[in-house]
Amino acid sequence: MKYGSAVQGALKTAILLGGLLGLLAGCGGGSSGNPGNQPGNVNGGNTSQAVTLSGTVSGGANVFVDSDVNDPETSYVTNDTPDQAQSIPNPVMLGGYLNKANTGPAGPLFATGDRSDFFRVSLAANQNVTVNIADSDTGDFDLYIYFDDGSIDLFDPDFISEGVGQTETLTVPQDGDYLIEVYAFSGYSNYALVIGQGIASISTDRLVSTDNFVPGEVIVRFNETLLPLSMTRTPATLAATVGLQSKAGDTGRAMLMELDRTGGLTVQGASTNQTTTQGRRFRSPDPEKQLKMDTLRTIKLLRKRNDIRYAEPNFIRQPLQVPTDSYYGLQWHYPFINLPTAWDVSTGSPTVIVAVIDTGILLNHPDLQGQFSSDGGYDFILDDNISQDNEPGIDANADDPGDSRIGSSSFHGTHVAGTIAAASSFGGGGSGVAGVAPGVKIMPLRVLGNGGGTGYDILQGVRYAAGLSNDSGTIPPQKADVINLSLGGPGGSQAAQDVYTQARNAGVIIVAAAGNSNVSDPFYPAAYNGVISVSALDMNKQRAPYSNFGTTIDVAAPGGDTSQDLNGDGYPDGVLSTVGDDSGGNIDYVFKFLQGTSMASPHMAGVVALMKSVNGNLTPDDIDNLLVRGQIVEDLGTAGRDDQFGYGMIDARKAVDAATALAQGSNPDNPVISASPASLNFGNSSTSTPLSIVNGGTGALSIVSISTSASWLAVTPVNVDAGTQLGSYQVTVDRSGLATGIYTANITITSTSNTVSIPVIQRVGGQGTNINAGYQYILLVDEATGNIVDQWEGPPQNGEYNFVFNNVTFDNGKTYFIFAGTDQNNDGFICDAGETCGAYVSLAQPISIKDSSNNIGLDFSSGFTTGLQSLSAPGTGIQSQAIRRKQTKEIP
Amino acid sequence: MNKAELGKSLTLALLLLTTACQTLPDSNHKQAGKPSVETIWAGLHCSRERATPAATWIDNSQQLEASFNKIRSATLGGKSSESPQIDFNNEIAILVEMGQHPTLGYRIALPEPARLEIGDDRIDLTLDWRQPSPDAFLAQVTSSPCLLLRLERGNYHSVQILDEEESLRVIARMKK
Repeated sequence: MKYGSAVQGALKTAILLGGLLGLLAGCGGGSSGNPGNQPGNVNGGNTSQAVTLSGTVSGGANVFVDSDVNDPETSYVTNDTPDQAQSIPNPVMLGGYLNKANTGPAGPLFATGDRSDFFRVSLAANQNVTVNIADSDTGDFDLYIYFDDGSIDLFDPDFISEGVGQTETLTVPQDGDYLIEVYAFSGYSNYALVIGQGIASISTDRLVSTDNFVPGEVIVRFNETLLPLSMTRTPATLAATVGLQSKAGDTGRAMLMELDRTGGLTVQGASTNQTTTQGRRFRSPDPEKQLKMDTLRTIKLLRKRNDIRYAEPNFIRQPLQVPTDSYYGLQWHYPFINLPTAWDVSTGSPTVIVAVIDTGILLNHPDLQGQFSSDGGYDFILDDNISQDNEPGIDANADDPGDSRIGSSSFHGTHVAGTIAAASSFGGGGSGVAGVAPGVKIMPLRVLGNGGGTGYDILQGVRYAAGLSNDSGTIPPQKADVINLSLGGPGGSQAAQDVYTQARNAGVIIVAAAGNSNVSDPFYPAAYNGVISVSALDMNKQRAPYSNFGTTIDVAAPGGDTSQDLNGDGYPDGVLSTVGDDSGGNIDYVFKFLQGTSMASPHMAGVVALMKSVNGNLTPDDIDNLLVRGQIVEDLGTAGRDDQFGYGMIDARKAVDAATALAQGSNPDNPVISASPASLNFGNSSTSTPLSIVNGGTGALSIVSISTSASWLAVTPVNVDAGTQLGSYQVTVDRSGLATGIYTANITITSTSNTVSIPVIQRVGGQGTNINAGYQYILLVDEATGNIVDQWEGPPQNGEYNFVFNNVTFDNGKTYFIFAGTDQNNDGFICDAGETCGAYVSLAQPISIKDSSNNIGLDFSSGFTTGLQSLSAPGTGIQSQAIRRKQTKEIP
Repeated sequence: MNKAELGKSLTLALLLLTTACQTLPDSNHKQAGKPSVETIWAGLHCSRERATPAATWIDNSQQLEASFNKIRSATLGGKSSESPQIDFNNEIAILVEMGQHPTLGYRIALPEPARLEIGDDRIDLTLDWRQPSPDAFLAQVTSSPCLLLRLERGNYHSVQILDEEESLRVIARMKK
């Protein structure tokens, strides 16, 4: 999340000076309306017009903090055992901290450690419980859930999630009371425990006891370059090095291994001790459950070894909409981008046309029969030496005659076309391979031949596909919806840019290969404005070694790496598709594994074709917006856009879902409402809380209506824009006349763009849980310099923090921000991932406080934001702002 | 044998020699003393992962089958999947691999007529060693072109592969 540029840079970097100034000026003094610690004010200049700034920070009704964290200022209440479990509401976002002894920042927990946090909560069936580990490099945390039925066996949790990544998620099967344990397997970190907030992060690295896998079996691939040279490498010896037994597979690829079922867990020496340095050893009277738990723990320990490239459960897969074509099982690149689930939505419509501008296509390939557009395509190769088709000049025959006279033709266009739309069988039978969008039609356009192709011929192909005038003297009865260009070169031209712009303006979505030179230089036509540039991935979701990268990359898709066989299927990890083989003199219709950005591009083109199949009104701008907003990709690499993967790897299911949503009325050009907090829990005592509603995207929107589903719930504007009605509101609950019990309702915010629903929970009477956002540090920050001018800190009073900053001046037009947050790990920064954070008026839209501003009632909330940005970065969930605070006390 | 019979024998021998020469395939353009050479298989995706070229001397059927399976390892289906037949009593095979390149447009081919020179215990064989024009628009698939050549056995223990400009590209050596 980004603030103004000066503040953004200053906040994290310049603050040592601010911290020193704070230490010199700040211990004690200053006024307060709340018995917290107020280190005092720093007077920034002339005080002829000094004012007092004050307001209330509310914890956010759904925000809680772990009752035993490393900040010495907090009221420490241990929650280390089931008997000491901290009661929490549902839904909730809770910030916590764990550490093994003698790890992490200095503080009260450093020496003794805090290895487990227990929480007691009532959950509904199918609710997700997610732990986001703020820094998985320093801490490996696991999530265990127990039925809270009075018989808790810490060595036999009912549900286990023990991956090694940033997220652990479990889904509970039924309504009931549960005990949640967040456990530090190793290291230290902040964490966020999220229940019922809708951000379910499903990691591909998950190790979850409820998944369906073969107990006792593990798929392992060694990192052979790290094995001792002197080692005899056989499946048996390799398995023995990790305490397993070989079952199938061979060295140099994935191997199936199994646990020694007599000796118990032996990986890395973890044996039968109840609690070892490798975490708590589980014991269950159910042999199958024991074997599953041992399997998960084995995989977890294997994943920590440098000599293991990957280790996975042997999942038992259920068929989705899966093609029955004979070679489909070798097309790893389709499940890779979630195509089977996309096929549940659509396999493509014959009203959608994808133009393949390439070497032509083998029109008689058996696996492409019935897949061509009615116009038949065209051959735009002018030079007969390039064309080699014995038909002088351009002609209406787009069949690929081959580009070699000696029997080594590429038939490249056939391979590309097969990836897009090879005929596929879903109901049984079927032969050959499957295509991404087997229901669409292909327009074959020939522009490449012997030695490549010319820019002019390619542009004629683009013009024809887009229904523009061209040298053939004809235009197709139906223009293409998508153009795929698995070709290119280093030179661009304005004339070519103009043609691509015209084609795009005609509504055609243009997709092109990013190039195979492993450089970041612009590559054309992929680098033209309006063209989607596709980089290539290998089976590890890494950039393929040949793939170009750089600022022009928009998206990534599987292109393959034929130097590898990571899945151990005996074939190189290329993209498998239709092709011809003329090495025997005649053309043989075969299938080949090839690699290149040529192979990546048609995956994207095919997915776009599926999107057009469910929403025929999709425009090039729609696709761009969906890409930029991360709605049709799996984010890889750096969060958001990066030069390796663009906006991420295309995700076919997300893509068709997004296209469907747009077809049902959601306008991609308008932004999305971002509300903070995203859910409200008033507990049993709080009666009001602020709610911020802002424009979380681009473009314009305004609020049409705000309604509540319960008479005890009300929303009133406090400071809103007269036109858009965006701004800050107050949400209040009235318990008068309500019987004891739990009450839920919704706030529905309808805008000109979309509608958002905010769940609200409150309790009347009974034993409630105190709302507690922890020990808050509230900072007054100079907007221009990022320096901390003043700091207020303290525990909550009735769930609120009433702060005051005295003697604040606005000399020379000075302006300020106000931030708030906790520092659970005591590293001197508030707003780390897993810590609460807030800003006036909201984190999504912090507002400068100027001389003419209102100086009192500067109210805002401090919690965990679930606005647009966090949704576009799945798997991270909780944002980190990391603002240094002043250290005002010695660390005990 | 008298003079007439000797003359007949010589004539017959000469006739036989002439006939033998005439039965050699024209494509070899065999010159006196030079072994014949022909392409028996050509491919564009021969599974070489390294960018450098290579040449392999193949003198038995097991080795031929292994090499052929390797260069076709990325291909499924089709009729032309049987390894070519070579009479290893009289012939050898040479697998020339151009190395992996980032695009199409690269190719090696045996020119017609074949250009082959006898050297000192070796043969110099010239191939068309083609690269794409730097300003061409090219298909973005990696390629690894190769040729499988059949050579008649002779008094040589290595085959040097040259390009059209007679630059040495790679050498295939007989295994000892």
